[in-house]
Parts: sequence; structure tokens; C-alpha cells
Amino acid sequence: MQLVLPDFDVLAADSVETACSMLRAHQGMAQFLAGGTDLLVKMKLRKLMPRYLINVKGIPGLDQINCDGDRLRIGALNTIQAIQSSETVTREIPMLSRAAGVLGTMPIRNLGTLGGNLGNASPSAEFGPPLLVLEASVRCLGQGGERMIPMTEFFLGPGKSALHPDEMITEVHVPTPPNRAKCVYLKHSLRKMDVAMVGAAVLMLLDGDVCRDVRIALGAVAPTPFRARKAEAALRGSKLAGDRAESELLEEVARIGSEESSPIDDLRGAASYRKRIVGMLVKQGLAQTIARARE
Amino acid sequence: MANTRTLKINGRPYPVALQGGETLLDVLRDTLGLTGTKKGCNLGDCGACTVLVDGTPINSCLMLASEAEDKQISTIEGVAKDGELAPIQKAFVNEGGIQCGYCTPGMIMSSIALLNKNPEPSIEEIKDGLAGNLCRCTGYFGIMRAVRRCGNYRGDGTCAEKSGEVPATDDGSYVGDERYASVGASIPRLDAADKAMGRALYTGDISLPRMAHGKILGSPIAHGIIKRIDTSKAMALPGVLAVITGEDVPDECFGVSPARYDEHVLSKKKVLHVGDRVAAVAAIDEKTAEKALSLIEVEYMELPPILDPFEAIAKDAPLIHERYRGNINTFVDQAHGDVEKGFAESDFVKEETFVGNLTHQQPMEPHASIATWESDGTLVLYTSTQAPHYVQYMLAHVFHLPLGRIRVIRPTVGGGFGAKAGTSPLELCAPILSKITGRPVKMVYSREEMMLFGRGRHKQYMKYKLGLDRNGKIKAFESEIHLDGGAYASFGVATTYYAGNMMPTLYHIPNFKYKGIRVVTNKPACGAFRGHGVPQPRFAFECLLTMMADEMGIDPIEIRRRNSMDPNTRTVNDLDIQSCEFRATLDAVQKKSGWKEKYGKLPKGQGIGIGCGGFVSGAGYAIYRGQVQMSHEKGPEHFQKKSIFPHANAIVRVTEDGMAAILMIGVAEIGQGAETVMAQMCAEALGIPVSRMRVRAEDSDISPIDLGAYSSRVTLMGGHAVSRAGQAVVERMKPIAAAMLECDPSEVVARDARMYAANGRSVPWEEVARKYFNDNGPLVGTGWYKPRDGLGGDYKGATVGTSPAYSFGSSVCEASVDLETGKVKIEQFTDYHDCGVPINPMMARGQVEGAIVMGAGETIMEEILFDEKGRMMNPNLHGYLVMTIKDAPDIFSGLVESYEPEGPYGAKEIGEGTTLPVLGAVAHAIANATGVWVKELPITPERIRTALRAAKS
Repeated sequence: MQLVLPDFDVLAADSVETACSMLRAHQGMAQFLAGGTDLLVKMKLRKLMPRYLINVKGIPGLDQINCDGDRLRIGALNTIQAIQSSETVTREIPMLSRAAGVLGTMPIRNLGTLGGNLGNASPSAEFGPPLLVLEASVRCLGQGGERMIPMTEFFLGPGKSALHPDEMITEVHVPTPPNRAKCVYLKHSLRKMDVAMVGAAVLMLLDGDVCRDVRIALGAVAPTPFRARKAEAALRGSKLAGDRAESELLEEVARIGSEESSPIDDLRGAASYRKRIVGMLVKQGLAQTIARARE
Repeated sequence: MANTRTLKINGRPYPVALQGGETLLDVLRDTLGLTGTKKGCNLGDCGACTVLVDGTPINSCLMLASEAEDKQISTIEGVAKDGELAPIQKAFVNEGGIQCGYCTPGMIMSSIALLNKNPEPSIEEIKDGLAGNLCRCTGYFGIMRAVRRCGNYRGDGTCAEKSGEVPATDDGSYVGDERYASVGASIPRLDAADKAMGRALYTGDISLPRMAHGKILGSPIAHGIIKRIDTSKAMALPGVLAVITGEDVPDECFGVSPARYDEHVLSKKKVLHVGDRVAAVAAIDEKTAEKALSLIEVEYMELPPILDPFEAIAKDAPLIHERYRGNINTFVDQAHGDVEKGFAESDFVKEETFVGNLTHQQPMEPHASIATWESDGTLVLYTSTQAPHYVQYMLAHVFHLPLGRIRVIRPTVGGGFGAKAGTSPLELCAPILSKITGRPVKMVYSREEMMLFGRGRHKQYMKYKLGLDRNGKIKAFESEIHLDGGAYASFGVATTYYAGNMMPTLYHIPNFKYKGIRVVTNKPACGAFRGHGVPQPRFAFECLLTMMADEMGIDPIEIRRRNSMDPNTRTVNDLDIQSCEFRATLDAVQKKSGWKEKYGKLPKGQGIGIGCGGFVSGAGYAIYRGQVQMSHEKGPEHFQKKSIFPHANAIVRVTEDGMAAILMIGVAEIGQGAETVMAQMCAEALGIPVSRMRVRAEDSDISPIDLGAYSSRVTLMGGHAVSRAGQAVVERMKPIAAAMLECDPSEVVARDARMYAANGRSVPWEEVARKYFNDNGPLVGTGWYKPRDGLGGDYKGATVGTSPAYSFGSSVCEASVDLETGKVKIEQFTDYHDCGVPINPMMARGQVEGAIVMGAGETIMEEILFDEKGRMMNPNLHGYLVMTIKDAPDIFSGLVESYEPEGPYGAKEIGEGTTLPVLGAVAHAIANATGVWVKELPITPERIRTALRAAKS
């Protein structure tokens, strides 16, 4: 019920190292402040009451987007809107730009950052499924030095990530998908701006009429965004001839994907309904990517 | 440790001392007094606080002020240059993009950011750019027009020609009455420019010297007894000025219906819902006040909450209020005609059960009040209300003060829709805290507090039985409705009657039986919400009629035509219909929507549906009986079938130079445009242009009583008062003019700011006025309106639903449904309304557009939800879903030719009646698209899927 921000002090960090050492110095009492769109809401609602906010927005160099051979390097401080409107992202991995475009509203996208979206480790993190199918990795820096966390190992539970308490996300490395691979991110929500009720990303690589590779990732239907490995396995290597067998196979893959999910009942939708939507989105995602691969 | 920083706002440096923890929004509003930027939710959901930082729109409630240092901040105050509105502001003003104005500054800032990047945005690009700004009034249509046509106001006209023009909301087929100059003119609202510039002051924008801030402590439990309250720690907190509990407030209860005053200012003993008020504090600032709340220790004896109305009326259920036996707060049992005979004569009888939803008005401006006492003992209350007089009356009642010692000031109000029709705890706590502290005390609800105060739409459980003959004519209708009322009565007595009484106004229903049971539960009280009590029963009736039409093979529009109400009819429950062009609205929507080509011919997944409705043009009787007096002194007064005092009253004073007329009337401008239509009607009567009118409606010391903005009464009742006051002025001027024109006073006519003799000679209006003043002193006229005596029947409850006039309307909705997910897209609305003569057609359509989007949202996405302990699960605008510009349909809004003999210049209501057709039309369109009816609101994708699955098996 209280909406005035609780008391805290802002510490300005001008480098990742300082930010991390500040975090270490105030272990358990400090939070990084980037976009603030989740953090300040949680603080106003007294769900979080950090004594210190470490403002990392002043750290130079973390808002770059570079195409580095066969991967994109996206700085953690890029706003969601910057990713959506980035020419590089749109050219190299259009799915990522579209996923950014369906996150929240324009004013929120202008504040929120990629690092914040991931660091929050929300089960419905909009960037989770796309980055999972792209097999991205998260670059982070802390006391133990720098390390890369594969996306598949990044999310541990609702609000929990593999980041150490003194680590900060600096970049996300996204391998650009092979030329012929097609990917799509689909989101189901009542209003477009809402947090996803279900999110699904699909990456499809066809080789003639054989599914050379497929990756499926789901969001908002489990404690973390996750890869639907069983569904993938059921499809990988299969023949897709555009016939009845194909549509039966896709149905089956969608069903497996749906079974792999473990959504909860919440305000946005009942678990049973969400499972159904998972199947739907997986099927749609597969159909769309296959169709595009055949073009 | 405050740091002095410099913020660059609108190109100017502002040095501010920052503690570090303030949001940019709070610094703009509270520290710098730049209150044009609004606070609607404080959680980044509504967009009212949108400002540009280095040209980029952001939610200023989610940015720390310290982060904005070294950046260029642009707020609404910097948009107009040298008092000249910027093109986008002009566009908002002229295209009907502004109603209550609370979303306007944020909306304009988002539009500027969009247009800077993209001077000719497509409709889709506009929707993308503005999806973060919620509007509850306009239905976004006027806003889209404004952004789309901004080019026309830039002078380069670039926008209008580009493809993807905003679909026309009207084809210009409506022709106004040429006899009138101001009446029927689509002029911009009088307050539009102030709202576009962020200059309009809402209660929360106002600061008085030495002002303290108050807050109310809400109960964390839904049902319990307060065992002990310890306020000592709160009182000891530096900066705290007063702490009060139930012991410190009067014993007098308040409420809405005099027979059911059942609320204490603060709980005396029991708490009846989560958020029920337990204590209140005043402190030097809001932050300290909030801290103090957390230091108040309350020990409760928890009682099991009763949340389900059917459990509440079960035999052994404990009583929530001692006084409401069986937890029933209102019980209605009426029969008109012979229902048994009617069903016996019916060829087709169908029974269905429908369930509604608890929805909230969600005005963009949350409630706010400021109280202060003058040295002579007069209480002054600034408050965001729809009914200043009833607030004044309730203050008199609770505090035992004469009305003459209470001054209610209604600053600009950011929407109401019924949420601000009753008296709020803020309005009662602020005066008490102000008295104790000796300072003005300001109290503002957060979005959550507003929702926990409640007063939203009752969730209704409707059991219907309808009998038709073989031609589809209604023979009998029986309804039994349980209303989940929440913890207090509020408007609920009237709601319960409205839920039944309004049914026979739309169709001829010869035999009608209604049982209404309003049940008390441990949830926030429900109240009056646009269409008061009627939208859900109307939704259910429309659905049932359409179901039967389909089953009988009669076109759903045709069956309505066959049953349509006729002018000059007394309904079976004794309501007197005067003008009625309902059939014309049916014909018009049928033609305009291409109904015949579409109904039954659309592919699966696409649907078209019809819904109809109408409403009263003002309640026939005031909420309290007897005459205006200090209300607590009154003994019980017997009801008389007449108005004891006038419901609307106006004074016109012409300025001494004759160049302006000041119209004093206490109508509540809440965004609907009341002041503008009052000025138009008064100007018409005076024979001067609206530009010479000034309206003083905000202050009870200045303006005589008007009962307020509820029951869609303002245009009709206020309109009579102002036109009569205008006529009275003209009558006084006539002899002076006649002497100047050397003619007989009876032949003098005032028109176009001149006074004419029959031979065509004329003198300037202002010269006559000046002469009048020189010779006779102040030129003043008064006017008042009372509904005529004897309205309604003689049975219990016959007063509810009585009105001088009734509106009618029909809506056709087109929707598509994804049959796999159940997701609905409302594509198009075609609406025709009979509002009599529209005083301002552009504003009338604005009401229609807003009602359609609000009603469509209520039908498919809005609902307040509670957990098993009675805690609200979605007390915010990310959990409670209001349609965004992206969800809003295209709208065609038309008006049919009509004249209401009981209305001023032939006018009647349009504010609430426009909501009523919407729910049924959407429900039908979805049923038409899917082949299944969902009989429970909101019609969510999940419910559609469940219905489809059930239909399959």
C-alpha cells in the first residue's frame, strides 16, 4: 500500500569493477540500478528494501551493440527499445528485435535494460526464450574475474540466476543463427503490453525436407524459461514432407512441449489453459518457421 | 544529506536539493510545482507521468531524479511557446482528444516523441507509440485523430492525405437544428487548452501553505474485531502531527442512501474488508505519514471472511453487520402484470443464468481531498468528486455542521464514472485531521487504496426467464438477481432497484417480475458505475433475447424492432417514456454495419453481434428526502411524490461592461464536458457566443446547488436551469433594448450578441447590458429545475428508474476470435444513439467512443479478483486490465434525429446509456464467431476455450 520509496543511498559506479566491489562491500544490502522498471516497483511495494542502490548506468561501454563475426555482442545496459530499433539486431537476428518490441510499453522499453531483464530472472523474462534457442551466453564480471554463463545454465529459479552475489552482467553474446535457420518468438497475453502468459521461441534449420536442427524454448510456464528438449528430440532429424505425417508429427511435438511445461495457476491464466497455449504456440512456431524455411 | 543538483527542464536550469531517493515525478510535482505531469498509478502502468528525457518518453515515476541530472527533461509545461499552443496541443483540443485531461499531458508527451521521429505515423505506429498511455474517457479515438491530423495544425498538412486515415466516426449525416447558434455546435471543450498545457489544477496538484499530508491505515484482514490499537510509536515519530482512530471520529454513520448509512469514518470496532480504514495520520510530508502508518500497532481478533454471496445468505452464516439479517442489505420483490399468465401464453420460454464481474471505474485521477478550517469555523474542502453537494450534505451530517458552514471546492476532476459519486473516507478524515493539526491536510489515494475503497460495479448473478410468442413478441420476463455488495451499502439500494427497474424501458414487457437480493460480503463495497446496476442485467437480457431469436429463426435485429419501445409510453412498472427513436437506431446500425450481408454469413472465427440499451436522463428524485437542511437534525420524513427542492440551479451575472456572462452552477465537470454544454445552452438563451461565457462551477460558495454528475442528469437538469437563467437575463434586458430600439419589449430578440426589434433594427447586446447596469445595478438572472411532480408508480421502489426522459441506443460489434487460443480482437463498433438534440455532437460522440472501449474492456478483460482470504490479487493497472489504444476497436458513432420535449433544447443523456448496448453486442459477436455463448463475464480466452470444449463433447 505504500508507494513512497523507502530510504536508501545511491552509489554511482563508473566501472564494472567498482560496481562489483560496491556490491561486495554492501553484501545483501545493495542492488544494481539500471532501468529501475522492476526494482523501483518492488521497492515501492516494499518487496525489496535495499540500503544502497548502485547506479550502473554511468558505466561507459555497456550500451554497445556489435556484430563480431558470427555473433552479436549486446551490452547489458542497452535499453529494450535500443535493441528493438537497432539496425544491427534487426538485420542479424530479427526475432530478437521483435521480442524486444512486445515487451511492455514504449516508456518502459525506453528505461528497462537487457541486463535487468535477465538479471531479474523472472520466469516470464521476455528475452529468455529467444536467447535460449539462439544459445546465447551471458558475460559477467565479478571478484572471481570474468566468465561466460551459457544461457541454458543462467536461470535457476524464479528470481534466481547463476550470477554470483558480486557479479554483474556486462554483455550478452548471441551467435547469429546459421544462414538458413529461421526463428520466431511468439507471445500470448491478453494485452500486448502485458507480461507473457506463455512465450515460445522456435529455431528451425531445414535441410531439404529433413529437420536438421530444431530448438524450442518456453517462457512463463515453468520456474524458469527453459529448452523443451524432449520436444526438440522428437522432431530433430525427422522428415518434413508437408504431408499428413508432418502435421501429425508437429502435433505430437507440440504435445510433448506442452507436457514439458509446468505452469502454475495465476492471475494471468490457469495452468491447464497455459499448457494448451504452449502446445498451440509451439505448433504455430514450428509451422511458421518451416513455412519460411521452404520459401 | 541533501545534494543540490541542477535539473535541466524545458531548457531552463532548476537547482534542487535532492535526498537521493526521490523519483523524477515527485521532484517535478512536489519540489518544483510542475504539476502538469500527473501521477496516476506510480508504478509505471498508466503513463500519466510520461516526460521526455533527452527526447525519449519514459515513466518519470520509475526514474530517480538524480539520474536525470545532465539530461534534457521535457515536460508538458514547456510544450506551448509564449502562450501559443503547439500544433499537437491544438490537435488534441480540436479533435476531441481531451476529456478529463488527466492522461493528456503524458499522452501529448508520448505523441511529441513519436512525431519527432516520424512526422507522418501510420495508425499502427501511433498505436505502438501510445500503448503505454492509458485513457479511460476518450476510447482513444479522438487521440488517434489528433495525432493523425497533427499535420493540419502544423500548417504543412502532411498527415491527412496519407493512407490509413483514422476511420470516420461519423459520416456527417446528422444535421443539427439551424435555429440554434451555440446549441448543436461541435466546439472544443472550454477547459481543453488548459488541460493540453498541463495548467488545469486537479486536487492533488494543489498545495496550501503549511499543508500537512494525511494517510489512512487499511486493515490487512478481511474480517475481524479490533482488539487494541497502539498509536504511541507513530505519534512519537518526528514530523507526525496527528494520529486518529475510531475513537476520535463521530458516532454518526455515513453512506449514500439515508436508510442505510452504515459506515463510520474510521472503524469503531470491526473491520469488514481488506483495506477497511482503521486509523489515520497527518504528518509534515507523505513519506513521514506513510512511515507513521507502519508504526501503528493493531491487534485483531480475526473472524472467518465471508466472500461468497451465496455462503453469506446461507442459514447459519455469521452476520457481517448486526443490522442486515441474513447478510441481506437490500431485498426487492416486485411483480407487474401477470407473469404466470404471460408465460402460459408464450410459445417459447427460455431460462438461463448469467454471471457478471466486479469491475472498477479506474478514473485516471485517484481520489484526493484537502481540508482546511477558516477562522470563523467554516470547513473548506477541496475534493475530487462527482457530487459536491452530497459531499457537503454528508459533511454536515457527520460533523453536525450547518450546510452554510461548509464550502466544497471541486477542482478539475480526472474522471469519475461513479467512483467519486459517494463520499469517501478522505473527505471525512481530512477535516478531522485538519482540525486537530490546525493546518490544511491533503490526502490522496494510491491506485491500490482507491481500489480497496472500492465502489466498483457489483458482480451480479442473474437468473432469467423470458417468454415470447411465435412472432418473437415478449410476453413475460422474470429475473432473480443476487448482487455481491461488499462490506457496505454505498449506492447499493439504488443499484438493486436499477438492476430490475430499467429492464422494461427498452422493450415492451407486458408482464414483469423481479427479485433482487443485495448481499453483504467481506470485500470492498460496490457502488454506482456508469450505467448504475444496469449493464450486467442488460447484457444478460440482450444475450437471452438473441439466443431465442436465433433459435426461432428470427433475425436478432428484427426481434428487437418488433419489441421496441415507442414514444409516449408508460411502461408496465410505471416509467414514463417521452421521446424514443430506438427503432431508428436499430435501422441505422443495421444499414451502416452491413448486417444483412454479414450476419450468419461470416467464416468461423469472425462474428457480428447486436446489443441495445438506454438509460435515465437524470434520477427523478434526489438521494435524500425532504428539504435541504442540516441533515442530522432531521426526523424521518415521509416520501412525497415530488421534488421538495430544485435539483439544478443557476445564476447568470453579466459583467458590468456587458462583455461577459458569468454562469454560476454547481454542476460537476468530471471530464464529460458538463461546463461546456452548460455554457452552450446558456449562451443560446442569452443570445451571445460561447466565447463570452465564463463558467464558475467549482465552488459551493459561488454557485447554488446542483446535485452532481450521476444518473446522467447534468445535460437535462442543469441545461434547464442555465437556459432559464439566461432567459431571465434577457427578459430584464428587453425593456432597456426596447427603449433604445423604440419598439415594444415583447418583440425584442437576443441573437448573435445583438438585440433586435421586429423591424430588423438592432443594438449591441453589451450596450443594453451596460445601460441596464447603469440604471438598475447588477444584471443577474436565475433559473432552476425540478423534475415534474408525480413521476413513477406507487409501489415500493417505484422511484428508482424514474426520469424526465430516457435515452436509447444500438451497437453492432464485429470481432474475430482465435478458436485455438480463444483470444478475442474487437475489430469494429457501429453505434447509433438517440440522445435527443445533441448540444455538442463532437462531445456526444466522445462519450460514445469512451463508453464503447470501457464497455468492451469490461466484457473481455476487466475483473477484480480476490484470494481465499479476501485480499485483492490485482490492485494495480498491470493486474487489472484496462484496454490500451492497441486493444481499442474502430468506432463509428452516429446520432439519430430526435427531440426530447422534457429536455432543454430537446436534449437528453448520452454519458451512461452508451455503455449499456456494448456488453451484449460484444458477447453476441463472440458467440457468433465461435458458435458458443459464454454467460459469465469477463469473456476471457480461457472461458471461450472451456465453452468450445464443452460444446465439442
